[in-house]
Amino acid sequence: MSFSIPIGPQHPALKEPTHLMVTLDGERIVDIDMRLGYNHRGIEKGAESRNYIQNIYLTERICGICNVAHTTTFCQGVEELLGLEVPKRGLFIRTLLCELNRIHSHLLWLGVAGHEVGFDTLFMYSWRDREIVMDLIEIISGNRVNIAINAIGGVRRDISDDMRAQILQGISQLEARSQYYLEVASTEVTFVRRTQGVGKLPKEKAVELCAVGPYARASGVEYDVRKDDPFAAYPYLDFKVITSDRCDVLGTAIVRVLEIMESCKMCRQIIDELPPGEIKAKAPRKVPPGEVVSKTEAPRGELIHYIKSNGSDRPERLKVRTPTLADIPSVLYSLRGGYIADIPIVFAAIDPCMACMDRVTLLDIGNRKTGNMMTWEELREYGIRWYANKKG
Amino acid sequence: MSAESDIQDKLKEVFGEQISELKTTRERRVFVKVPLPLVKEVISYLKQNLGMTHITTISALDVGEEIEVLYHFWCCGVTLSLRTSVPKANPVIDTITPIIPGAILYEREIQDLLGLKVKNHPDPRRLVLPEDWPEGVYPLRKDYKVEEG
Amino acid sequence: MTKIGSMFPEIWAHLFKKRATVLYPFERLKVPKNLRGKPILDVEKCSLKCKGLCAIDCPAKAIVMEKIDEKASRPIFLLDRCTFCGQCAESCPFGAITLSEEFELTQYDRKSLVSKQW
Repeated sequence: MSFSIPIGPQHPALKEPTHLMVTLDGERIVDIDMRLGYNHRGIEKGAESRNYIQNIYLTERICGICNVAHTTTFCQGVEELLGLEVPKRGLFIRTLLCELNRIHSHLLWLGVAGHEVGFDTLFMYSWRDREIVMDLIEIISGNRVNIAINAIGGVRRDISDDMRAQILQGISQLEARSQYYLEVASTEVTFVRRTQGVGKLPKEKAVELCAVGPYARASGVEYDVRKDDPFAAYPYLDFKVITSDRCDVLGTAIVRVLEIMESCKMCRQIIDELPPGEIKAKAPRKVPPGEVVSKTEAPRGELIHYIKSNGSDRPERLKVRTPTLADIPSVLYSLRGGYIADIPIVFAAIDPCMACMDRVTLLDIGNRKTGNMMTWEELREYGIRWYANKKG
Repeated sequence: MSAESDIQDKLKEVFGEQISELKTTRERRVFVKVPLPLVKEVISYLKQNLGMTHITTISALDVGEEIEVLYHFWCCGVTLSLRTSVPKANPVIDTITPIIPGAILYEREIQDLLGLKVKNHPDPRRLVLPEDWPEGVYPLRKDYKVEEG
Repeated sequence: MTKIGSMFPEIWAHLFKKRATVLYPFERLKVPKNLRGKPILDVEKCSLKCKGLCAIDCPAKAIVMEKIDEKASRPIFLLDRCTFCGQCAESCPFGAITLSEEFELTQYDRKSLVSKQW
């Protein structure tokens, strides 16, 4: 006899609200269904009523962890519509911050994965090492999260010589630490036993369901926008695309830690080869009519922005598809047939970012008919009444 | 022979006059306009003959009397964007999930936010809007106005 | 080849090292030079006649222009809405706005966060 239990939207094992309806037979998952949309914020509609400069900051707030990827994709798209060429130094600094952002996101993931399997020591130590990256990002851009380094036409801040020395020192420390985490992740029995053979996704299924990012690369699909459709300064950099043929969650952990090491090498190459010159080209406010498809590799996978302009200083349409949405059919496939206790770690293997994925909710405050909405005072009164009724 | 001109030539060869607005805007970006009844045939051709397996997303936008739907594919090293128009009075398109199963969530999204009806979709539920959102109200259409907070 | 307790040597070594947590507010960290903090208006440089480019470009609508006379107006910053992005400083054609390093800006009510610097 099978029964269904709901997990979420509020649940201690999930970092962000989603709703999973799990049909179980004993401990095995027979079927699983997912409900999205709890973090939907109205960004695509909101972008149509803001000008292009304000939209850089709006797209940045789609996700806190991959904020550089969103601004890079947006600015790249608008620069293509304007026919603007970004100076080479600007492209290199943009790429440096994309890679630092990738390192910080993968270290964050490593900590979260450790936490989901109960290995809190790994969580604490990897997040302490993440502080090295956050300090470097703060030195360069002035803020740790939502760094707003990109502008239409280039970047806003330059890298001075003593910053270069600090960056190189931070990168050496990160390389040593990520080598250590690679050993821990692949040899520590408590981590390996929870992740090996769990959440299997064979390569054909990953291709059929169009998975992207390190999750697909752990199943052997070699698709990385930095190599296949290079943007920013990636045509000048020399790096490998990391894949693994393990097809399980341990594969995703190993791919991500190796990507941290590869990113450190890329950052070093960028600092060594940073060309002199301008960092930003002047951009007009009004964008001629046209449309553009802009793709980048966010830390979680392939990110696409489709922008259509109509000649004014506001976009006609902005469409964003984030990598987490592309991985959802694959993760639901890999959860079927597994154990219920594995749900947190298998779900965490795609590095889910619900804020990125949902993006648009519209709260119609004027028209109260849409759903159960209360103001703060109403909510307080409701709570007081509820407790008064309960006490009798 | 670049990858972009390769794809353009092959599409012109097979579909000839039925497709229009075939253009390459920059390296690795090709756009083509396809009439609505031909969409599934073109996508099957891309999958079987050109080895396309990956759909990036499906965008849809409101252009007044019609709704334009764009399918963005990754095919032979090029991002190919297939455009088609659907009249707003009868916004029905056919699903492409038998050809590309990965498009399942993107079709649900345009159904939810723009009111496009996707025929024969295996799972036509709402994706992002709440269940008690009123029927017939589509947030991403141009006539839906947002009030300033 | 798996083993158990691979993080033990590291944990043992850290018992004798300096603590990684900084006990703020008793210990303060040195902030980097370019930190984006509270916006400061240089009243001399504000031309009063530019139609408020800073307010047009602010993504959070945190700048309100107050009229001084018929043609001129000056900005007032609403620090509870400000995201400290620095776009106002870039959009100002006269360089009248700079972002300082002041970041400890919490108050108990929203009215004290309206920053009128003239």
